[in-house]
Amino acid sequence: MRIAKALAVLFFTSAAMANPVITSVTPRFGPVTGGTTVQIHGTGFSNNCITCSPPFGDPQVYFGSALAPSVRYMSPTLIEAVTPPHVPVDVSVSVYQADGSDPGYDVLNDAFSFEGDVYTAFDPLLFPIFMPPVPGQAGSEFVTTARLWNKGLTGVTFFGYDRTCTLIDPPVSATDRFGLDPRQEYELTLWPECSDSIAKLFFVPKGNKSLAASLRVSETSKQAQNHGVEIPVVRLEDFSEESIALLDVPVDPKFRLTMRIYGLNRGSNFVNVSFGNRSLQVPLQHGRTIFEPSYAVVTDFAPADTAPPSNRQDSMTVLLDSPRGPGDVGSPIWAFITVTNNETQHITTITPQQ
Amino acid sequence: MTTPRLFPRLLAATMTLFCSTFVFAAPPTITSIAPASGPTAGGTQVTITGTGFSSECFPHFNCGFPKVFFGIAEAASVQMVSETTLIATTPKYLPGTIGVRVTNAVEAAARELPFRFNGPVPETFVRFLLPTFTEPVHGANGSEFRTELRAQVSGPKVAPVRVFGVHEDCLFVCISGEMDPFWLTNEESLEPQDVSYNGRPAKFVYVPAADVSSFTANLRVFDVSRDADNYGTEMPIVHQREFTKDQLTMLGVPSDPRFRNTLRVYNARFLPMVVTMSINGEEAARIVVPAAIGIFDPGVAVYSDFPQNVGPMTVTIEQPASQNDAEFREPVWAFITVTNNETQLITTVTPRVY
Repeated sequence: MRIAKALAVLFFTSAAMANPVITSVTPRFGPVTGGTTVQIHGTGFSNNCITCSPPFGDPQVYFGSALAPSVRYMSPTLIEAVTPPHVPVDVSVSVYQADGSDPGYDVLNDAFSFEGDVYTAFDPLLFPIFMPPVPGQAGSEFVTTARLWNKGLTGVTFFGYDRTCTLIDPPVSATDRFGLDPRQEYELTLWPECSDSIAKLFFVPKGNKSLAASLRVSETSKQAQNHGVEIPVVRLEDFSEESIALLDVPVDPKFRLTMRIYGLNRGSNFVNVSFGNRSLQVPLQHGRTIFEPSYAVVTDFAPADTAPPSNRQDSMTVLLDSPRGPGDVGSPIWAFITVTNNETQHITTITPQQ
Repeated sequence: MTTPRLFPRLLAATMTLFCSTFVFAAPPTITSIAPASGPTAGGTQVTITGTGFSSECFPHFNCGFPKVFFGIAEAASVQMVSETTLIATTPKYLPGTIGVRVTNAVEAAARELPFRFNGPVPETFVRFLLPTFTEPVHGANGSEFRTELRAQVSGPKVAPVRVFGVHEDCLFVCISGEMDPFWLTNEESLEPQDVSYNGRPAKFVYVPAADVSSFTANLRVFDVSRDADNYGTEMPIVHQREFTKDQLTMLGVPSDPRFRNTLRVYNARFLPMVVTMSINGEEAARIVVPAAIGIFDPGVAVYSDFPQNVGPMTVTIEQPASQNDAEFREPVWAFITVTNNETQLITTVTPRVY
């Protein structure tokens, strides 16, 4: 039996040495939810597998770095593969076969486009602050650290990190997504001067509930004083399509206030903000990619000149109202305020808790 | 904004005028109710005996009176048997004792009789945990920590949002104590001085599910002795869906001797339970979480014996492996506060699930 297997391996390795080459992919696009059957044309495809027993097995096909859930070897010039769910970007298509050929794989760049609304197949995770180390006032330096932990027992695909900019510990090899291994902690930090965006939207498969995440901003020059501040990681259900109230915002020259407003790049492109007796219309800057939220920042919380003395001088409520966009599209927003002490640079947050 | 609020008042005033002019209705009285208790799921047929029950409020015009209220909720249905007998069906309600009241078009019964709801909290109420909720407590180095809760209506809702458990407003005789809700309106927000403490470390509050989308709140802990230095620490307000039978994970917990870590674990059921705490995957302690005392008072375990100088820790809370079957586990929630031993600055590490 063992001899027969060895002979078979020998036979197939010598008989099928042609390297796979992909020439075209049809169709060239499909929905983000996956499930599109794609024909991969080329040469040198085989279903020989020197590590399999019996020594046959369909090749492996990747869309970007996501494995196709189902692959059928049809002929040496045709493979059929079903697309996995994937965020809407252009991806390469690659074929791997363990038939003994060298290198045994081929990659066709920009061969397939995932199209449609990313939110139909994925849930966003907003990291409201995801920045390289930035110097602040009085010699301070603020460092963002994100940690992820998969508490489930199966891997979770995680889209949106940029390996050229993000340091991941332990390292992962894929470029646009990675599988979070069960019971494994990952620490994400950004290279200095690498990114000019403030926040980041990552995507996980819709309905996934097995990740824990932690996001902290620490002031490293005064590390002895505190363990940084916890910034919430924001889920889809935390976004509001109507209004947000931020309570108990201090009115005190000792503190500076920074309100950051985030949207999911849809609906209205402005937000109405009111506090004290002022109201503002704040434009939201849309993200350049699906991995950047729409964003606005408000730092001027000075009361109106004509403000009558209010009955509570020491704190105020900030209200945000999210109008519906063109075509009555809802405009989900989330916002929070950081309160920073001008002297100690100590930060605390005010988040909408509903 | 005034119009919708004013309208029912005008209507009521007009009706009162008409009714008192045309209907010779004496104010209703209640002498007995039977049974005097029933399940929180509602549906109990309660016979109310008294005098002066009247369905009239206007000649030839039935306005749906008499009305019967169980606490703040109107009876699911009312059948008027005679001027001395009503049969009312209980609504779903929080477990506890509340007052039953009968209202004719003109006047309400002066006397309320108690009715007790037994059983679990029905799904028409949403539970929120306030993880710290105490009168000012003295900390190390002359510090004094004060908890401040604020809540208000967000969005366009005109009807009040009712919050159970934080407020005892017993102007006259108080049948129900904590069972009396605070009525948040567009004009009236909940401020720290409206809050009643009962000497317990934490609190569950309940909001009717229909009101939740308009409820917004903020919980902060201040070190009053150092008011100038910082604006306190934001504490999470924990929706019941954050409680889990699965693993709770807190990432990046420091083991630096400059900080002290305090882990708090919260239990909603009326039996004590045991949870396993692991640090970096190794079981570190078994923690007994006491039973909840009532629906408003969670059982709280406090653990602070963390190792030092072992680098950043991943702290997980799980129910022991012997409770493998999810049916035998109970949802818990936990978080860690990290306090600087010198400055007493606090920050939180919370386990959110994504």
